[in-house]
Amino acid sequence: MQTILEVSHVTKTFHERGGRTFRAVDDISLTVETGECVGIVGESGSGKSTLARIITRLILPDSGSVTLCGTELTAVKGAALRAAYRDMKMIFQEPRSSFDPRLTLGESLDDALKTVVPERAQRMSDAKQLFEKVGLDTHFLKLYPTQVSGGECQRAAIARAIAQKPRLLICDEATSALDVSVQAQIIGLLNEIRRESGLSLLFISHDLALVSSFCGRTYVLHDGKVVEQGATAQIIRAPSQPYTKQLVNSVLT
Amino acid sequence: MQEKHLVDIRNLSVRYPDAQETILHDVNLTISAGEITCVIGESGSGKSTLLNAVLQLPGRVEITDGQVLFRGNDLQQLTPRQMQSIRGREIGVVFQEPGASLDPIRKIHKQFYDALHAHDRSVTKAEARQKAAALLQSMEFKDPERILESCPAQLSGGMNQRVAIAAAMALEPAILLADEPTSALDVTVQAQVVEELLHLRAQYGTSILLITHNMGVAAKLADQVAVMYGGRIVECGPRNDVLHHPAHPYTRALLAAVPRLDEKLPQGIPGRKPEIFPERNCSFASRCPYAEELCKQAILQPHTVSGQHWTLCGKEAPDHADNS
Repeated sequence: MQTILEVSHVTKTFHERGGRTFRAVDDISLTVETGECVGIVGESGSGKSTLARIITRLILPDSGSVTLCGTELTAVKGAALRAAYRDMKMIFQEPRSSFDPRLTLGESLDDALKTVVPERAQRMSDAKQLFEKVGLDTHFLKLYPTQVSGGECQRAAIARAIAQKPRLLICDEATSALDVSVQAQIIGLLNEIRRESGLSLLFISHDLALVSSFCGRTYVLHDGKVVEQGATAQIIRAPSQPYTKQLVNSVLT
Repeated sequence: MQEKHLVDIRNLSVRYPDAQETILHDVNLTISAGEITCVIGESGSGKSTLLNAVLQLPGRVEITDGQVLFRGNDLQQLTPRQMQSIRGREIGVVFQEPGASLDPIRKIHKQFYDALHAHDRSVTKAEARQKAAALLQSMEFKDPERILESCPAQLSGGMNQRVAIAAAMALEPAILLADEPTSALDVTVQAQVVEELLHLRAQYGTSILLITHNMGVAAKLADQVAVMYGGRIVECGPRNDVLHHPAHPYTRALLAAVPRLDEKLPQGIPGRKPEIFPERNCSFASRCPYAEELCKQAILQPHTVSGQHWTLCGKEAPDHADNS
């Protein structure tokens, strides 16, 4: 197996007013292999989202490096960074806020396809195929984000994310705003896409049970540090941290 | 017989004041003194509307049919003033966002005084403070005095939610209504709030009507579970009966969608929730794997499964597999 993503000793400190500092991410290292699904679990304030933003280079770490498919993201910019971005896409918690409300879902998808497919006719047929793949009827291409349900909008976000055939998909609480029955639909879809295309998934969530249902390996974050890592089944069977024990206990049995 | 139930919701149908369509259809639910009832369901099922109907806040909902009896009295027959004195003192309430009921920049001991003084003019500030400290103590706050001197804006969301619960309990209501009180909280804090609610019930004998979409919370708290879909209670009964031997196809599908620690993928419910639910017949028929032509025509009747456990689905369950 080949390593898609390598995060090495990443640290990020935020400076608050009054000279106080807050270390949101503290010396975190992790890897994701080709086709692997890795979970990151932690409560609010544990550093999950800061870590996701460092990996996607929306913010730069104070120290440490992020390497995606052999490119050190923290060291490149311009065209090289844009090329690297093609290999990595992200899905957020609120699908509606990640779409431009003035564009139809089809127009947003077309924007994403433009960078990889120059011919318009080809893009149209690709867009239809992508929507079919995520279980949306093609008439949804003509709808605006406000006209569809949260689950349908998240399906469209997935279609847009996989349009450029990335090798890594980062999901930050991608199903947390959805009803459980819709969440289960989306998880099934992500798993199917991963199986078909060999895509790697980094799945960030506060829900250990959800992560355990389809992530082979998991990192548990607490106060900006990795407090537990390894095979998800092992973590659930023998949680070593009080926090992880609490997570295991809170699940419906 | 009327004395038996603290709250008795009978054939309740409800709509929003300015809308045509009915939101709740023919809801029946009884809550006994000291009992914890959890209403579970997905968004749009009518859970919060049910709570609003019990709370009778003016302008929120319009009851078109049926009754809500509290200690045998029809709440609709009360004057606004009578209802106001029941609300807060007899029926406490906590919402999902603690910010909805607390003033962010008023010290917490003053807010306790406000709540107590509104219902009893003879309460002194010292008495209110003592009562508040005792409640915060029983909710296992490490330093109640510091909390009393703080403003909600200085505390975390979890702490504020626990303060809001303590404030709702200050008048020792007979029943506490709670709308998703743990949903904005981290699992660790959520577990703490669940423990505290159980403790409050044990100490004060308060009934609790808790709305949640979290089956884990319902499993830990509830004596009785009611499952809502499409503005109806589709199944209701003792916790273990409903969660481990669900009789309604929707309950079974809902439970199969909940992620568990068994490394199996949760199962989605096919199709999408209809925009408008049918008035008289089964609201789940369009998505139900067991639906027959009859389901789309028959008028719904509750069917007893066993003892207090009933369901709106008249079909013999194809499998009585143990869902535990």
